[in-house]
Amino acid sequence: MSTTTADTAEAAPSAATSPMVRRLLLAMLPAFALLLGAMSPSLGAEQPPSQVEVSLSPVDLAAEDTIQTLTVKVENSSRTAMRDTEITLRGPAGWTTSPESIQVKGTIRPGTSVTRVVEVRVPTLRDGFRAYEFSADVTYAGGDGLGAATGERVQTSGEILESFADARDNVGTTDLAGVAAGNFDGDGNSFSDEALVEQGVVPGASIEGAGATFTWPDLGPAEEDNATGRGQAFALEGSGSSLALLASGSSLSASGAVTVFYEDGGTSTGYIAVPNWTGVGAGEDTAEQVVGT
Amino acid sequence: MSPHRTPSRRTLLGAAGLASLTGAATAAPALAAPTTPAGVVPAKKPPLKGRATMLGVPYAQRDTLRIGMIGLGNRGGGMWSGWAAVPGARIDAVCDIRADRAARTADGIEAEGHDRPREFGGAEESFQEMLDEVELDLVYIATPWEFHYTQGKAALEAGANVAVELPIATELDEIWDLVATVERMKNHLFLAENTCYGRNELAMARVAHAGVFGDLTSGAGGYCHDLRPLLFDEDYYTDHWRRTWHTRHNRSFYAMHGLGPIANAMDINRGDRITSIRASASAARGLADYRERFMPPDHPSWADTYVAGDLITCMHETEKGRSIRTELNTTSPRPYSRINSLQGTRGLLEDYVPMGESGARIYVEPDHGDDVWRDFDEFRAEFDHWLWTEVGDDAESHGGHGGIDYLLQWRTVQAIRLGLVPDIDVYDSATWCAAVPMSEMSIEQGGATLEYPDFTRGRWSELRQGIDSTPKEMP
Repeated sequence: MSTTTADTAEAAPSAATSPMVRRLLLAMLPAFALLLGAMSPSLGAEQPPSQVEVSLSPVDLAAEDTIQTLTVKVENSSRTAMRDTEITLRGPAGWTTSPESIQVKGTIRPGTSVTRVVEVRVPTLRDGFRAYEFSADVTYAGGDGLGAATGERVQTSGEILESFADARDNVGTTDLAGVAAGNFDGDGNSFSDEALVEQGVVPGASIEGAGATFTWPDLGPAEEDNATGRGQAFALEGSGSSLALLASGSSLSASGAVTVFYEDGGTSTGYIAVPNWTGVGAGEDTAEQVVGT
Repeated sequence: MSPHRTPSRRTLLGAAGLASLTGAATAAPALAAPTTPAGVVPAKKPPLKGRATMLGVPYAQRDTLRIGMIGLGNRGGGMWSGWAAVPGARIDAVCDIRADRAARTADGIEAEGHDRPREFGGAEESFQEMLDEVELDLVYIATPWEFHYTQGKAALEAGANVAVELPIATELDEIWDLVATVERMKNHLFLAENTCYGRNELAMARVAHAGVFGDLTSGAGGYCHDLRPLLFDEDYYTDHWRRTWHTRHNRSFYAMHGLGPIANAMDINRGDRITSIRASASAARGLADYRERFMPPDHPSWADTYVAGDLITCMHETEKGRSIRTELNTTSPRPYSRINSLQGTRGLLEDYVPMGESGARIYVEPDHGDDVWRDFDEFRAEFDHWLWTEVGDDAESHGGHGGIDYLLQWRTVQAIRLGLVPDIDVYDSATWCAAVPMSEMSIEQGGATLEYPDFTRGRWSELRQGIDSTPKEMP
């Protein structure tokens, strides 16, 4: 089992609050599917393998409201000494670490390593699943000749949701009778159930797109049928090389990152973007429309 | 719903929420700051080269705290009951230039069931007599501003720790000298900045430290309090000392009141430092207008010429590229505010707004994504400082200003009894108070940007805990 944090929304039809809005929705309702086929970071152009390894020790996140230490280790496995080595550490956004930059005096001889200690304020951790990334960028001369290496450590706190269904917190689909319950966009609007039904989008329906088959929520209209993306994490069973999401924006800027935390401690991240219900906005060129009315 | 409306629900895919997971690839580089910005008037070299620091040095531990008080007017006269109420503290001596105030305070302390303190008063030098004759662990000074430096230094030299009301000193060389005296005497002197113990201010700092606002970019604080009736009252400020300051200086007299809480949230002197100040002053019209309308022709204030602007604004930059604005406005009609605003890459807080029980509002990604403010109540509860959860009820029943005075007193006594590092040290105090004389220096130079002194002498980048402290029991 792996864990996914994704701020996703399942598109759902709506009835609208005014004739004009309803007409727009009926004419232009889309849902978009995105194929995240490159969740693993791309290596880009080929380059020689790094022989400088940067590793970070874990921070004691249980010690909230204290100052803890983190050790950065730089290991030189090349045949050449490293010199002019500088370590720049970055913690989670808004966290204070000290020092942020360390100059390593002298050289790091082949086959040896250096360690440096950094202090980190561990604050009060928020409830729910949270991830904290610490990274150390190391620049140097000599060594393997690459000039730079990075080490990362991602730590987490809190519990994940058992399934994506548990993340649903928004009524995105309503019929005319229940239109008042809808609030897909934060302004009380929602997708038309009647219009979606006309397109075969009914509870439990299969929807093809982005190389995947989605199952529409087996819920009636005016129920919480989608999740507003805000960093939730949920368990995800299965294996594969890509992840597809069915989503819609309600603005021009619905985009962000999806990170998978694997059981072995690794992570991979992809970036997605989806247009709004008119097909306008972020992801116009990358998202695939799978439902339109 | 318009398809082209201002983006709502912009966090649909959690860009903000997930950026922390992908910081190596997406995070902006560490905030950089100019080292020698053009047009900045350089500061004099720090006068304390080579002296041992008191950064991170704990108080000498004391089981029982013997307190002496200097200044028993409106401020000091309202503080003795709090000091006397803190477990493990006792007031051994009280002093005021007016001997009757010392006697009245001693009466009050005795009437509350405590041992009667020794009384000193009747002369400007009475405080020295007290310091010479009574061994004290903490001296609390609440006299007019012009006495703070001399009395604070004398108390340090008498071997006591010192809590000084705002400001610790009024001139830059005096502030440096207090830092020097602390380092020489190895006791602590700190600014008794009660606003730093405000519930919203403490929660604001803790929310910031938790990264909820992302990387901080700017903040604002202030002291916006219509003091006109008090300034013209001939009894409230003894010999109208405070109004007199408005006739002699055009400066931000209380810059530290708004700067302290923002500095705490930004880890100033604990990872960042203030690098510059520039100040501006509006015309000085408020007091003259008030006098015109409300003061009789024979009122002594008619001899005054007011020079302090009604709004003094200070702008600071920090080493990490943050900006801080403070405002002083005590001579205009207006409701009270200390502003308390903090902005980061992922959201912001604004205090002193009519929202919720907290009276503050917040907007952060990814929790919010609809351009709609929320009241600060839930976040304040989530990040409530332990002092408020543990001592807040006592504070509200014992102390003034909504309990923040008592929390400062309680925490000070606790820190000394446990031998802890002070929440606010002389370096913080000096940094916050330097804005007082330096605002005037900048204004006199047409709003010039002045290089800000580094009282830590290079150790500002060391992470230290400060006021966002670990919970402790009172012994």
